[in-house]
Amino acid sequence: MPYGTVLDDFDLIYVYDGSYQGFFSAIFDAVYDRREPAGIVTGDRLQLSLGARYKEVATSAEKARRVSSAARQKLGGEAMRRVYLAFLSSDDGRETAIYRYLMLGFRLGRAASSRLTDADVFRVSTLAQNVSRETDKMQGFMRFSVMEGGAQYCRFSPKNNILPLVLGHFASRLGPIPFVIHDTGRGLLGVYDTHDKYIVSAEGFIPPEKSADEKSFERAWKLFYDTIGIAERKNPRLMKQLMPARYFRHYWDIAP
Amino acid sequence: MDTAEKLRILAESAKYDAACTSSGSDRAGRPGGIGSTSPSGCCHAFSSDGRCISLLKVLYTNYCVNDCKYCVCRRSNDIERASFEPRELADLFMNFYRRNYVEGLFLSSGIVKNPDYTTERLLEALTILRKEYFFNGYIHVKAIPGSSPELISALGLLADRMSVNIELPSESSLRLLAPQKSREKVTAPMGQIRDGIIKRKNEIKLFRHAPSFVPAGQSTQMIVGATPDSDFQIIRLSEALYKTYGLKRVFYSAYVPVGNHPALPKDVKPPLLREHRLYQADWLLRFYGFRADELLSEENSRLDPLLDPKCFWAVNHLELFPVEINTAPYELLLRTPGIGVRSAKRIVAARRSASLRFEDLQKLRVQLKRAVYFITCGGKYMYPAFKMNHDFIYGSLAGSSSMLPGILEYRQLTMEDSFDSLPPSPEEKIKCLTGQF
Ligand code: SF4
Repeated sequence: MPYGTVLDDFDLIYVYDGSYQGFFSAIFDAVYDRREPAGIVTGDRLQLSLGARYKEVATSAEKARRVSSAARQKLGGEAMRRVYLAFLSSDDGRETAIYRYLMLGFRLGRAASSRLTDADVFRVSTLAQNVSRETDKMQGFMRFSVMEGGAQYCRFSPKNNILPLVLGHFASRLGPIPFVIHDTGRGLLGVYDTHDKYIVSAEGFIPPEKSADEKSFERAWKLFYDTIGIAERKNPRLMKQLMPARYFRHYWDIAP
Repeated sequence: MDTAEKLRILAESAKYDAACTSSGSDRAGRPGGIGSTSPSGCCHAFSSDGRCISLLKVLYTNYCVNDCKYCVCRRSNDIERASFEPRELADLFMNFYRRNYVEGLFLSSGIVKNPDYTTERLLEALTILRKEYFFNGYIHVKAIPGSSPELISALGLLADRMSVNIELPSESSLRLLAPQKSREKVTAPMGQIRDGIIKRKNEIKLFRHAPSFVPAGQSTQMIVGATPDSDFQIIRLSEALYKTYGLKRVFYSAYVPVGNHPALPKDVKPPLLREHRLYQADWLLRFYGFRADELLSEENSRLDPLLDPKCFWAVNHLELFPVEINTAPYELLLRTPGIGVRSAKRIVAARRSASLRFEDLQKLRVQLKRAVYFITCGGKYMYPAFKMNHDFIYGSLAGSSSMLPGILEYRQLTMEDSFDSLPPSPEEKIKCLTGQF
């Protein structure tokens, strides 16, 4: 720890609310407490071992802003993008790895990011890669249905928490068309109302009926899909390899 | 006939045409408009033959006044025919796009009445998409050879990519199998598109808001295996096309027997391995500084089935090897099997600070399996007993199973496997190299 560590006899785990701001608030608190955190976790993942205590972090926009702008200055925008992506991963050690990566960055500046031999730097960059790869793939394989009233609906269950990323992608792409993306695994809805994007809990949400002509477009697409494979070139193994099942289990069109 | 039925017929006819990736333009969504493009392209599904489906690829019509022997749409062929209306096509496409079924449109067409009439229909469909639905995503359109320059210009202002298919690798094949076409008819619009692109580029420098003209460039396609043209003729032609017309891509499409002309092969399997080798050779031309006449010659005019063209070249130029990793010029590193564009760059950067050893090369993503025969580190081979010997190296390289994609298991994504590195330009991050949809 660059700031000198308080030596006392218990491990302190920082518990935050799961938001990016909350996470940065936790980092702020840890730095302020001059303490190497024994863990930074969300409440549902808290496991107290013997001799450990925990502290609930109050999410504060101001604290989060201070940490992140300092980090941005030290590490640069690209590194912060990587940190954000890694934060969205489903890996249990993500917060600790990011925390240590940032601390290293405060010491070394931009040079920290190229230290791939450091376990934390390597982990953050691998997690970020996984998240962005999953996002790319998902964005291709997701399918919307048009609902009564004209809004669109799409369900998916990604491994990582990529809802904010795909929400942004489709909002910029679909412009005047409102939509809802439903992360069924996490019980979250990404909503775009043609002006704003927000993420809300899916509790009690019942998707509206599909519009009347939805079936006919689904059929047309299926027809197109079945038509274009060239029999002489068929290669089911290659197809499987390119399209792992988890990406399209929600959609009707492309099961091999 | 309903739209779905038309779609079935017109996708069926379009599918043999291999060209196209959804890439090359990078444009974010626009307020009020629908659609964006991403430079890496985006696969939305993979068809049963493993090609990626990111574009709605259809013909506007499969009626055609011509009778090109290798083409399913040829006048004399007895097939189901159909034709879209411009608005019908635009609506269908927008419905697919908003559901995220596809990333863009790839529109081609048979020739109805005459080339101009056909181009006008395409133009109308594109105009509806761009001006009425404000569709801002990717459109690739085929220029119909023989249409007037004004119409081609107008089309170019609406499309991201245009292509004119060269179809057959030589004039004599063209004369035999596509009597209504000639090299000249094909190259005239190519030249025009090239000039349009250059002109716009200059205008954009002057006026920031000059409309863009075919921003993703133009490409073309050749059918491989329908005619006796050699690999050498093919890659020499590609080289000339890249140079003369500034093409972004030449696509090679293994001939699937759909014709019955006596000059065409019958009952053959599509030559997928050959198609694959041509893509590899094409890569060498574009990114590795090779010339066509270094890879092949009149006498030796066929790409080796057992070795990829880079290994094949190296094995036949053993006098240039081994190269010393710590001192060899970049150009030579690039020509060494097992070293791709990225690893060559990494080597050049890394050796500035420290002398490199074999252990380091793996981290720089050098494929030692292939490179060992051609490199030294600090003056030593990895295996000190190794002696340069053509037959030995040829045998070892050919023996490793990954070198035999076509025989053991044909994979269409093996460009990286064979050249060890991703293609260097992110714009061309190719998701499916051969027969990209
Ligand atoms: S002009 Fe084009 S569509 Fe018509 S027969 Fe020839 S290749 Fe086929």
